[in-house]
Amino acid sequence: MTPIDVPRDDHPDDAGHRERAADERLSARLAGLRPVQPGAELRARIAVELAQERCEPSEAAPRHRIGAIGERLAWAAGGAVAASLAFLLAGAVPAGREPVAVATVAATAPAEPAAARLPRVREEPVGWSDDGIRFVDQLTPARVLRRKVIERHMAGDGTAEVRVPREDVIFLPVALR
Amino acid sequence: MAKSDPDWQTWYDAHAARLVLYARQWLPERADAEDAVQAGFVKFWRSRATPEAADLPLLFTAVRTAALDLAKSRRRRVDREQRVASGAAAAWWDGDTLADRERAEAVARAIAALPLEQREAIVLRIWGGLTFAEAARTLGENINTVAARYRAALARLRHLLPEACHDPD
Repeated sequence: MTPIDVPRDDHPDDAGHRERAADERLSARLAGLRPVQPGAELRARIAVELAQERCEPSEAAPRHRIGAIGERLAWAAGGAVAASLAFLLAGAVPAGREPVAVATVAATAPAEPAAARLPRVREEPVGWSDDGIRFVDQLTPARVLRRKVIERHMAGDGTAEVRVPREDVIFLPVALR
Repeated sequence: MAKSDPDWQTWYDAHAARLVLYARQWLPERADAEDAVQAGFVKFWRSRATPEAADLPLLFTAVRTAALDLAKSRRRRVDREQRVASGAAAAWWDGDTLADRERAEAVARAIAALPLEQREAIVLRIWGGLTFAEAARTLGENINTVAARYRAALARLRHLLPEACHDPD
């Protein structure tokens, strides 16, 4: 313990000297007491907390971001392949045959009941779009594809034609790894 | 944060015991004081990219703030514990011999009888190892105020402690 660095009076008297000397002796005596060491678990708790902190912050973030971008690119590539396959399969269906039924949800209003009564219906593909991966009911990941077509409803005698735009929303279940 | 384990462990080894003693001014129960030290130490370590010796008052301030927060949340229990503080205070310091432990007990009782601001000044100065300037920075007070509290605390302790506790061995 170094001597006490209490600001001193400019004109110390004897009593003041004695008092300060007593203070110094007492403070030296008190300084000889060693505070109780904390339990070993305190060090462990701090180590855990600091280790958790190191896992979260900025240093690790770039690696996470790079990983996330790579993962997204992989998913996008996979999605593009899936969409291409779906598109090719749809295009490969021979003319005159109805397309294979796929689980679809119509996003637009169904065709008018009157159109349904028309005897001949042809579909004219307009395009596909890929909306990426979405979670259906918060739990199930699925790739969302949209297929746009024009339905051409021909009157039986060929004198009338009704064109109805239609959009099919296709949910392709995917597995996350 | 570019900090390695040995850095904080060095700081921990150097200051943990005195920080726990300081926190016990508000949280007499050792486990509570250790909780405050944990909170304050981690907060300090997160806020300082590369702490230096000059940052030591900030570490004490962080522990003080954590101890005050904990004391507020546990006030009812602390009140109860402070009533029996003189009995529990013996464990504030280690003692190798029975005489040491009895002396530590007497000092603990005397310090517990001091006003909080005097207690803080003397704990920071003697066991915290801080200079008056550092203690003043820790407390956000003027250096002369802290020095006056310290002097008053020593004067009071001289009256409260038995003569045997006054002179160094």
